[in-house]
Amino acid sequence: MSGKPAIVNNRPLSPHLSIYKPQITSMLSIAHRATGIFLFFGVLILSWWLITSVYTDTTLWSVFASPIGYVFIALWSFSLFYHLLNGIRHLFWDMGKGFDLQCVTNSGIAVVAGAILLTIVSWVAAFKDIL
Amino acid sequence: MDLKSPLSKAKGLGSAKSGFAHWWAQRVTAVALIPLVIWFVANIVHAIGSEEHLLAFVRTPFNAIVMVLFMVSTLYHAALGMQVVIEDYIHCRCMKIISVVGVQLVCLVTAIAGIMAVLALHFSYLML
Repeated sequence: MSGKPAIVNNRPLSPHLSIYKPQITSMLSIAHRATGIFLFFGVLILSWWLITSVYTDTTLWSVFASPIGYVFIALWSFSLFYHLLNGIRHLFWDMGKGFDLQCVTNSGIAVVAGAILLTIVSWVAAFKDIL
Repeated sequence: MDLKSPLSKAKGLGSAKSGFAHWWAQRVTAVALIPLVIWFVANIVHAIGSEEHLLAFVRTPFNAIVMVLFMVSTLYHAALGMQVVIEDYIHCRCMKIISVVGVQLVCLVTAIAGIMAVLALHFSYLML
């Protein structure tokens, strides 16, 4: 089936987003999807920045040194760390481990805290020549 | 009594048919990306602190090879992930197919161009 149906469906739906209390499970799950999507577009941007900077004499380098460039890379790096840590959490679920509610809550908090920590540590390390 | 035909048993696919391959490839690329992302972040962080061009770390054969592996794994993982997202949110059948194939095409082109750029950089550093 493709396109719009001939008869419009006006039947009422049960409420969902309007009534459900946001919880750590659902919020982290949609964040995993949202960071994945943002990482996808970011990877395209970063890859093409790399490709064009190798093949041309463009001044695209300076784009990332601008305030908006820094904000973008900061958001992208946080997304990367969050998606990485939450992805590992998903892999444990795939092995059948960590499904009880307390573990899900605790691992969820650990993932968010870890992502914030890794973002801060990597940015400080990059600009303070620690590594 | 076994209701499965010998052919279906030989194929080994259940009701998910070819869908398992997608799920498995997503997990394999995910596991591969754990060390690859750590490697990538460590190199970028180190490179920002140094005076050289940001991507000069692909000078060594190890880094050039791993960079190619990183790009391919990332774009393959991204294409698989975006397929699931598109299938969830786009309901018009022809738009769904166009979007999924479009994402795969974009990932393929980016991967090829990225591999060429990494090799160009790697060989230019080898020549110096």
